[in-house]
Amino acid sequence: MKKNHFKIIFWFSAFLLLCGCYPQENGYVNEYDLVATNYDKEFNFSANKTYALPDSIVLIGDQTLTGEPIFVDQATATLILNQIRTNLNNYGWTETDSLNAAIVLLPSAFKNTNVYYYYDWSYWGWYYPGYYPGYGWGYPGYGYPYPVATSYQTGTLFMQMTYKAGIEASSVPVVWTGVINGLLNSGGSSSVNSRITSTINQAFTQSPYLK
Amino acid sequence: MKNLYIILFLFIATTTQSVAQLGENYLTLQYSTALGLGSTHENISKMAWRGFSLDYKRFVASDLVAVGLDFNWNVLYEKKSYDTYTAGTASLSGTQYRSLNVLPFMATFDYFFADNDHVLQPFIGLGVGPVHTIENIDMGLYRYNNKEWHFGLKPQAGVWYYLNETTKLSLSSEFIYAFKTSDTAKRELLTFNIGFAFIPY
Repeated sequence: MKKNHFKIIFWFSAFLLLCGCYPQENGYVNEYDLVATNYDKEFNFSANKTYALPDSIVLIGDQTLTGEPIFVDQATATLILNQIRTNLNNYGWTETDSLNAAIVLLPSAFKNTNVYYYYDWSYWGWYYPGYYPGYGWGYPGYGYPYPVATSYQTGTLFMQMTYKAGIEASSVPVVWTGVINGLLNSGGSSSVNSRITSTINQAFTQSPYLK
Repeated sequence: MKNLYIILFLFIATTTQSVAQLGENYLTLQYSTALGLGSTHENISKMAWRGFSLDYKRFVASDLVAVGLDFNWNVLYEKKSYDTYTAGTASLSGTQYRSLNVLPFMATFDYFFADNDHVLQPFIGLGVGPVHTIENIDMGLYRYNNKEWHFGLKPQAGVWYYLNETTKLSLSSEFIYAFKTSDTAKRELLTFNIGFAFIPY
């Protein structure tokens, strides 16, 4: 009788161990997109609804500080600028040149490559002589497993509304900021473009005070 | 309702030829599901199907009174659909993945309404001890992680069903209450558990 109950308990314990795992769900790439906005609540947007946009978008990098700026490729920049333009115009704003505009909207972008280090013994263990499951891998000079690397690239778009009349000697007031962040190297360019469009729209949708 | 009482009475009154429980040790291993209550439910409203509990009881003083130690692990999880979260002037939009691990480590006291001679042994009890919680909120490529130790209480009720001299089927429900800390809100869970209680030797 006892033998039987230990069998039941063994299989039940195995089942419980499986239940204890952390949940994980693989989402679609657009589920990694984030849209953040913030604004100066003292600023009167409705009284300052003229804006100017540049023709290009600066790509922030080390060389931005040390030499000539580099820019986002023009096709993507045009897509971004047109989408910003459409949203502002829909909110009743008027585009003009930078000298006459109350607000100068400055978009900029940032790319970041994140590297994951990942190692799984089973890659080589099936072949390696003398390998037993659970053995470690001694890499000269390190003392821990030699990793296999994989990477993903993220992109961030900053949209900053600066108020020209508020400029002081050392600071330019930013009255609204929109930040969009997501994965870059997943899906084709049409997928990325579609996500850029929808996330820019979202930045304005969640900022109704710009109307 | 009257019929139900009669059936319950007959079950409890049904006796077996078992040995006394006084001095016996029982281990209880249960599959555990949980539902958040209050603010815990507002954060994650889905039923948690991942969990287990491990419980040790020793009958002391009589066949009806047991003291012991109890460990639970329940994992609440929910994917929230795309939404906008606002705090002050800042707004953040995205898809959130929320999970909350609740791990109580409790000293328990249980009172049984029937001894080991009966087919059904209903019981009530109380657990007291620390509760460890691990909360993750994944949004975009970022994760908010909060680990905390709370002081907690766990009133519980259940029933053991006689399978053989050393093994019982165990059904129980617990209300896990982890008091708020200076940094973390209180956590409230209602668990429903099924498993086996057995003498481990």
